[in-house]
Amino acid sequence: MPSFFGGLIGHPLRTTIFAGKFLAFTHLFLEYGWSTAPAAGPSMLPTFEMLGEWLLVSRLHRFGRGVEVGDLVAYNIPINDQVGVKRILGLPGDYVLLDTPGSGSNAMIQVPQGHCWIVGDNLPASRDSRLFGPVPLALIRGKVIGKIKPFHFHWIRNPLKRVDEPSEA
Amino acid sequence: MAPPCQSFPAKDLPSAVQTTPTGKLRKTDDGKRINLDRCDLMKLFQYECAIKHPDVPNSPIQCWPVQRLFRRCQDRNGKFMVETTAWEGTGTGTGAEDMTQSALPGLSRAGTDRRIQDP
Repeated sequence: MPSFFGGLIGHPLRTTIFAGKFLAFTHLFLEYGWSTAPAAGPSMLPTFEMLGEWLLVSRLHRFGRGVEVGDLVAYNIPINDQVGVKRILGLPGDYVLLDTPGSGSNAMIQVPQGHCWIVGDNLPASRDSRLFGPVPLALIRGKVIGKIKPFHFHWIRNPLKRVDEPSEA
Repeated sequence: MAPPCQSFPAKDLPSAVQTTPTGKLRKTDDGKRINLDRCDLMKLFQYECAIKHPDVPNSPIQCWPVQRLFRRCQDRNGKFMVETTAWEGTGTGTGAEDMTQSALPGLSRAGTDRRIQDP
């Protein structure tokens, strides 16, 4: 290693090219591979805490590729410039409730082509498809596949299961 | 922006699930109509969370589960999901709803009535 980095010292051009390659590779990895993002806010309680958790996001699932109902996704919020995390409840052609279960409204829609229906896990404190409607799949940044806490990591699994299957707990 | 979507009441689900978003008629592999009662019944929990004592600092957060039900159906083009939270047990199915109700007591309208307290 000393000879490798030693080869860079005093060679500005070589150093610049090396730095450029490093940045390009990092960009490639974070944009098309895997990235992390902090989770904050009350909309995904109790799945995620208000503060102090980081999420592992698979960018291989960008634009909603391969996601299923029940998966968590990171997406570009259509009404501001932030990134949010919500649960997918409907994909193109699926049928979903327009409002919160138990709200008294039984109105439903079919999710249009190229869109998905996303709802936060903490129903009263989440701004999601119930507010802004179906979200274009192009706004999906990736699927949330893990939760990172200091000195602790665990995978996130899709909780949707058959009613006759025994529950995990 | 999403295209305009026509909303419909949950009781119309059995007829609404017969068409794709492009307006084509769905058919099963053997050329039949989609029968919601025959599709796999799935469940998922979301929550209603609130701070236990909002006036006390560091008060714990309490969450009550809200069950959402889905039917995973299949047509010639593959699987699709139908949320049936507001439909299960309403009796607008095509014949097998009695079976559903007896097999799943209390599952219908779980989001409104059944609030189990989470620790």
